Amino acid sequence: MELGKLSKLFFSVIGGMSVLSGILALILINIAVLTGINVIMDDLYFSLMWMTFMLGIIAVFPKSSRSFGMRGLLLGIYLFVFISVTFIVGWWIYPFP
Amino acid sequence: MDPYEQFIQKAKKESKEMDEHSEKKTFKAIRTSKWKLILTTVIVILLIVPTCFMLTIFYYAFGTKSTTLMDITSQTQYITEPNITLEELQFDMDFSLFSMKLDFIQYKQIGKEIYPVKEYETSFLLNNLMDKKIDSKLEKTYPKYPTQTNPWLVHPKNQYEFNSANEWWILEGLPDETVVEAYISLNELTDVEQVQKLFENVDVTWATVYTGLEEKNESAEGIVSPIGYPVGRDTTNWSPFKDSVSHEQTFLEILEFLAPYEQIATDVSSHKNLALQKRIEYVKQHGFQTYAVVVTGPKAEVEKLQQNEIVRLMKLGEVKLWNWVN
Amino acid sequence: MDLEQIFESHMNDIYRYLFSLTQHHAQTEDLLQETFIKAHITLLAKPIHDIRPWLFKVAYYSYIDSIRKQKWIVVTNEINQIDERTPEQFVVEQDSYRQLLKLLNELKDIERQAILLCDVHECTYEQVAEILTMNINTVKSHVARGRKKLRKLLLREE
Repeated sequence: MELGKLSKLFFSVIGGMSVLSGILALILINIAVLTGINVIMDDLYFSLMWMTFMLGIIAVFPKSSRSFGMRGLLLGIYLFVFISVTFIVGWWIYPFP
Repeated sequence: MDPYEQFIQKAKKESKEMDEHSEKKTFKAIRTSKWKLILTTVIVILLIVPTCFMLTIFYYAFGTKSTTLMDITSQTQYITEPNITLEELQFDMDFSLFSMKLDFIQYKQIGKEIYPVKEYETSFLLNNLMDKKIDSKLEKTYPKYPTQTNPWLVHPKNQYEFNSANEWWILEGLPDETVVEAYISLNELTDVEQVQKLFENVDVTWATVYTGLEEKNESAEGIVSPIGYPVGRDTTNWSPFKDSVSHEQTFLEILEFLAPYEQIATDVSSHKNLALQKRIEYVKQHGFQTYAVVVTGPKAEVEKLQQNEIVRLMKLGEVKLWNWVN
Repeated sequence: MDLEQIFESHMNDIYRYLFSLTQHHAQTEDLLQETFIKAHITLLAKPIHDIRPWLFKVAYYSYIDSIRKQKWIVVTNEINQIDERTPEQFVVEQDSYRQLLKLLNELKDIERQAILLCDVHECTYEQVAEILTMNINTVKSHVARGRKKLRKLLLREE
């Protein structure tokens, strides 16, 4: 395979993985909210969030994987906003120390 | 055919030769577009719940605050439930989609000790009380559906449904090694300090306040029930009466705090109506007078209260084994 | 008929149309994908009777959107701009088709659209009016003006 195609494939895989980990993190949130079992504060969530975000950034630059990268990046930002909101505002509405 | 048309025809023909080369790519494009579509749909579906959850959290932070709802709930308990205290650490709060769960435990002072008596599980949909589950450990249960005449704390001019003589008789039959909680209705209106002086050997734990409605327990809205406040020094961190100089004043402050949220307060209480506005006005004009109190103490000391002229009726509450030690 | 079959029967047309607009294979592929995604979403919601001109319309708007986006996405990777074209394709495109595209570039954007749709892709005036969301008479005058200019350009080329 020629170099151009190889790098294209590489970035597509990166972008795909970004989106995939974002979806997994979203599934985690859904489970947590719908069942009331707290799985969000887990390390798993944070690793998925950073993976979504970082891989998204990598994939957003090459044109061939930009649409994946954009999705991954936006998902990463959303995941970050979600965890910030639940942490900061959540801590605020929860009246006990 | 003019040169223009010829030119266009030729160009068209040539452009179609490109098809063979592009076909593979376009097939791929269709496939990718399908996948992207599925992926986007999945993401959108998965975003619904977290977004709603964030909206919920924002609602309880900036709309009706979760802490306000908790204050309404707890302070309503203090003024509507005779001889009840709450403890902060026994409050539990949980948020789910557009709703909030608030669980807490009610305590009663019986003798010198404080016992957990009721577990509450309330759930709010935004700011509406949707469900209230009470798990009571009480042996004597206060009438669940209030009427004009079934409260255990009775205004001198109102009627009552229990047999006071029977209650005294039951009290007499209890062993001396017990402490009891008793609901004592008075013959006249008086102030709480007076009552405390008269009942010096027992603890007065809760006193009703006459608000102009208790002769009939009726207001314009319908049936009302006695309200009052805890008497005696309260040192639990949680209590609105903690270190308050005047419990009467704190009681009035609570009424005023609850007034804008009367519907929620009524829902979390066991009362049918609270008639807060009327009561606030009356208390502000006529001051604080009590007509019935909850006392707790050794069986023998409570029994002695029967001789007291001011005592009209007695209804026996909880009974526990001796714990009357300071 | 299956959505994919519908797309397959029109995709070459759409590909050529988009290529005429972008003159760039990678970009055409991207736009083709986008067009099909949009078409997919719309077709799931409601049926479209005259599918061909409608697909052109979707493709046209995808192109317009991409131009708007390009204005704020500054990050362009030069390496990826290089086309992966085979030599024979190059030869083919060097000819009349290439020349047509080159000449079209010298027209006003709207005239270019009108000529492409009307003369190259054989849409009727009504369809073109629908695709470009404009009055049928305006379309006719744009086509006429475009043809006139092209004729002049052709003469000059010769």
